[in-house]
Amino acid sequence: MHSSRGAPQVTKQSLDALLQDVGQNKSKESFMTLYDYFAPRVKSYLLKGGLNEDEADELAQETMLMVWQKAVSYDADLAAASTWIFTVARNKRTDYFRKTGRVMSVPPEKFYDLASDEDSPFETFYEQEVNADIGEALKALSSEQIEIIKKAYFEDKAHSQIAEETGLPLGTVKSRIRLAMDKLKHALDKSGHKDSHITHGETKG
Amino acid sequence: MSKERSQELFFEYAAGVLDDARRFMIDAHLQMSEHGRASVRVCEEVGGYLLVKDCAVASMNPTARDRMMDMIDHALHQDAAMQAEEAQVAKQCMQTVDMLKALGLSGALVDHLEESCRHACHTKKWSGWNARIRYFDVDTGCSASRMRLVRIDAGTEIPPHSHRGEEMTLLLRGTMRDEYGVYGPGDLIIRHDGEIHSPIIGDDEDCVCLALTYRPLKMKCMVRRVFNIFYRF
Repeated sequence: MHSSRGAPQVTKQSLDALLQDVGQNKSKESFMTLYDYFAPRVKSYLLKGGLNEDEADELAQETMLMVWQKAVSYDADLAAASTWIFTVARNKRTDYFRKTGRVMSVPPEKFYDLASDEDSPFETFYEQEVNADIGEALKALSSEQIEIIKKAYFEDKAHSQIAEETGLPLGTVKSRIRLAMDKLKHALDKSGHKDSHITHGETKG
Repeated sequence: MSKERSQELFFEYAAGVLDDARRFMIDAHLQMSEHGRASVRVCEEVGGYLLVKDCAVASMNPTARDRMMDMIDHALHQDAAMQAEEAQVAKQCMQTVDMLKALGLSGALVDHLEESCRHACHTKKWSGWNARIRYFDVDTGCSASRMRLVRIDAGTEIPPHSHRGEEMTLLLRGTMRDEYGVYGPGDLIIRHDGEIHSPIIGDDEDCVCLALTYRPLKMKCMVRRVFNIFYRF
């Protein structure tokens, strides 16, 4: 794809297989293929989170080194390689914010007001999602939902900050994210993601 | 409201935007909840998808690739040393871990509580508001919040109180009920600003929970305020 080193066409399956190869066989070749693919993307993710060039370079390196070291715990049945590497990068970013004293999100008391959620137009748009792939599922979301989700993932924004920036009521932001996630979850459940029902361990209020 | 709130928390957890204290609570909850893990996994898959499809490909520092190759060559030899070091740390923590296991805790939650509990084990014992309720503070590095590991004797009835700000309680052992429901181990109970409840601990065993509050409790009447002096959590 974007590799300048003539790497073969990358698919989800091939990425998963590469990461498994690193985990099981300590294959340096597979790792460097993953590196060429993911390091620039991880760096991009970190840049969007507000890190500067040098910080993002350094943290992308650290992320990939951790991928190398922890790959043995990767289980392709539980997560795609991209998901697994995303969580490694996210945790690195969180640690970095903590170390550098950057405050995560806004003060807690500002997080959520108690105004009841206004009805969202998406409530009536709660259709059955049949696409199994998450990319397909994302395509089914409105552009507003996609924008809000990206803000949360990339720009380190809590719901209340997104509301401030977009000028949308907090209730609308919350509804859009919730419905978007419900929709994705539904799509993924259909594709074999199990959501077990157990008596305890639930969230209750 | 609570289901929706938990979805928000799972989403923000996956996106990496929760404050330390809330992340700590969700981490702990996920240890005990298959349902929670499934919800978070979906959110994390969105993150993975966006990482692949939506992150422009930034150009790395020209020397980065070679440095990476050096590092993994080096890391190959470091792995054994790293494992030995981890084993040493694990040994040092045995006492703490034993105590937590006795409380019904395990896994990543033990890792999280390790520092605080070591402190509690070695330098102070459980504090108590009275004989039936004891606690120790868990340091989350987040000054706006207060997190405590709380033990309450079986059968204890806590007078009605409301909360200013959000309160999250993760039940680790025992059972509890209030006006809103009945809870068991692994349940994450979220009380919102102004909601009044009067929890009653199950008769069968002592209750152990992790409680996160952002502001002091507010008792409902003068008599309760006296209670509040002794039951600040």
